[in-house]
Amino acid sequence: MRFLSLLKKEFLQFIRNKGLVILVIYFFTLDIYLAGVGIDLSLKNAKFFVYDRDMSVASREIVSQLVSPWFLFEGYLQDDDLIDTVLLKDQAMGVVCLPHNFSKHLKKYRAKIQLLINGSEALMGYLFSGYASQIFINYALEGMQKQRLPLAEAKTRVFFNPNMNSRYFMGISELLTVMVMLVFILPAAALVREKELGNIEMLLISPLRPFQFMLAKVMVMAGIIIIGVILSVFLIIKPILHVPFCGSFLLFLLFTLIFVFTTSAFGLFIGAVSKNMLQVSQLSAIVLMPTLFLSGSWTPIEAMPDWLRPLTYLSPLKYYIDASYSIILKGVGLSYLWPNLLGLTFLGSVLFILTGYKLRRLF
Amino acid sequence: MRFRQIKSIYIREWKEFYRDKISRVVVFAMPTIIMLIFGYGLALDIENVPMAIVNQDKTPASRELCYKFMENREYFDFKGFLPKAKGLEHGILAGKLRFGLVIPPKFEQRLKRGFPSEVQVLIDGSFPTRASVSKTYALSIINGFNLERLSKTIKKLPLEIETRYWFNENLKQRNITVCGLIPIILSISPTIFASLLIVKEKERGSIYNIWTSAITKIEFLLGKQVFAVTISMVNFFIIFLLSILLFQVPFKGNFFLFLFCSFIYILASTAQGLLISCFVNTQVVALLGSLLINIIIGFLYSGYLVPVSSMSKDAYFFAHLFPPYYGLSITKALFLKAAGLKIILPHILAILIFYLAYFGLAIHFFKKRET
Repeated sequence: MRFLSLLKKEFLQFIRNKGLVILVIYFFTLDIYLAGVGIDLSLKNAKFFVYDRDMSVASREIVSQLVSPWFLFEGYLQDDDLIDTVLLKDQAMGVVCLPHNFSKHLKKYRAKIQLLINGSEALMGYLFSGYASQIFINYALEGMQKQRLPLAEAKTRVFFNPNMNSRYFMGISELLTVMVMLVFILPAAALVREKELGNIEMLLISPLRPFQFMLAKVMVMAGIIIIGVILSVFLIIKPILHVPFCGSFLLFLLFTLIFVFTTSAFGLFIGAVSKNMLQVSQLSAIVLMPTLFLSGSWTPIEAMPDWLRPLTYLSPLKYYIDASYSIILKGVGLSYLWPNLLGLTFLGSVLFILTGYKLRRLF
Repeated sequence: MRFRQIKSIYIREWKEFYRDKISRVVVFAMPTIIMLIFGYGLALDIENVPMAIVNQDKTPASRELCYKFMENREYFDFKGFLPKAKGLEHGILAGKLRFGLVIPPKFEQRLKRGFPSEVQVLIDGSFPTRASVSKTYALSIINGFNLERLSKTIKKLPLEIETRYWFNENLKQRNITVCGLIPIILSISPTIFASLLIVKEKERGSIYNIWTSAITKIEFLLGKQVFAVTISMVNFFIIFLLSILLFQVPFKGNFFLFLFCSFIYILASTAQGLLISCFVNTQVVALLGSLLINIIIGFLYSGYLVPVSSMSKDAYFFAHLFPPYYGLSITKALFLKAAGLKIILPHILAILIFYLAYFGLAIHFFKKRET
């Protein structure tokens, strides 16, 4: 009974903070939408200028090979200095330079095309040069001979996300980021608020066991976050971002439940250590960033430096994220995922017990 | 506006800050840690993609193509040959491989007879950027293979492509990820810090002292802001030094110009924090609100990951509504391009306008009474 009224108190405290409720709803809906819709990590509409000193049919034709949706032709440049200006002002990703006598050389010997790429956009710069070279080479090969040449041709098959649509990726990774952020900050803030307002004294003298106190906070916060996850999956991820949910939603929910429940205990730990919100804000950022980073949600683990890779096994988020990607995009079942379940449960319990210990000393 | 009033608010904040042992450290640790983690970790350079090959042809031509992939240690991390294509699929499903090449039987035979011959490329699409970049790698390797064979048998390609990367000659992604962090961190950390400054007094009740005192709204807000700017400028020096000393990013522009721009930028972010602080009633909302605004916009809508110029129309417009886009443009222009004042002047003016707008709104919305 005592426990129930504590649950009620936590829940009311959350609901009555209107600003917080609005923010949490925003996080789980519009925020994910903005991240998923606005950003496309593939080469799209890359603006380029052409500095054509030949102005022949051939030179124009080769430029016309760079088409949308990858490229966007912005115009011809008249002199050298302008190349500098458009790249300095970020008006273009690159400039294609065609020399005098381009068409003559193309017929007789070797014609040279220069690609000047804006290196301050490294990733897109690379894609730009890669795609453009590909297109030019194919064009030249077609021009060489009429019949088909004995070439090795690549037939690509992309797994899990055939169009390499970054909406899926951004949407899911944003959902996970938001979740982790709230999992740390909400419980920590709830605890520190009690400290700052002085409520904690009342709780300390009440006949509550530390474990009950902790469980009530964790249960309410975890409940709120799980409701948020369900909301965003059914309101945003599925209908608007069109992420194909291949696997079982219930399995995903099970992983989410274990993850949120154990990790929000760690949020309480931050709260127990801090004395005011400034400390909570800085400490949770310090913990949040490495956890997110080590989980492989932003960059896959093989891209990390060697010494960092073993550390990733310490991040509970890693097991959770691996599992979520596998369930959502690959449709994998529990038979593949039981090591993740084990790792997550184990690390989670360690965090939970650690927090319980810390809180007992607070009481 | 009386200088003495501003000073007393400033000194009061300093005292509180100084007495709080943990905050004293973590406020400076947070930007440093973000810098270290992202600087070392956010590997947008796509390398070490784990790959395997299924060679069903086993002829000189197919072996040559395999070698082309295997010797490319920079991009691919060759894990071994597999007997069957099923094994590749299984590896990708289990997350052990991200890339696979299948060379079918009769690969060489078809080429020798003068027909095109197909190879299959399997890519894990769960990280779309990496997928499209590794596809481009693969196609360029296969292209190289084709051109080499053609030049032996028929004739040379009549076309030569020369690629040059301006401002970043080796196309080092790290230079950009690191220097780009400076405006992002300077939009997140000062905003959070400033957003707590007023609301903490509201929550504790000490705001009544301000309401009943003779201090004006502008003096109060300025005192708080000067304090937040002081702390943030220290952070600026820390992350700037980290990026040039630890990460060895070459700084090509004028340092004093950069210092000046960063100062204005910090003015804008702290004013944004104060504005948030005037609106909300609890610190947790202030914290989440500042994170919300600045993380998404800082990373996604500033041009850090995707160039703003190639965004969709809505996103392009949206990016221009917040300071990080201008801050990042200035940072890149000064770090990598050694641009002069003339190029970045419009961006500086934009940030200045943001500052005035944020601060003006903060003065307007801060009430010296119960609302």
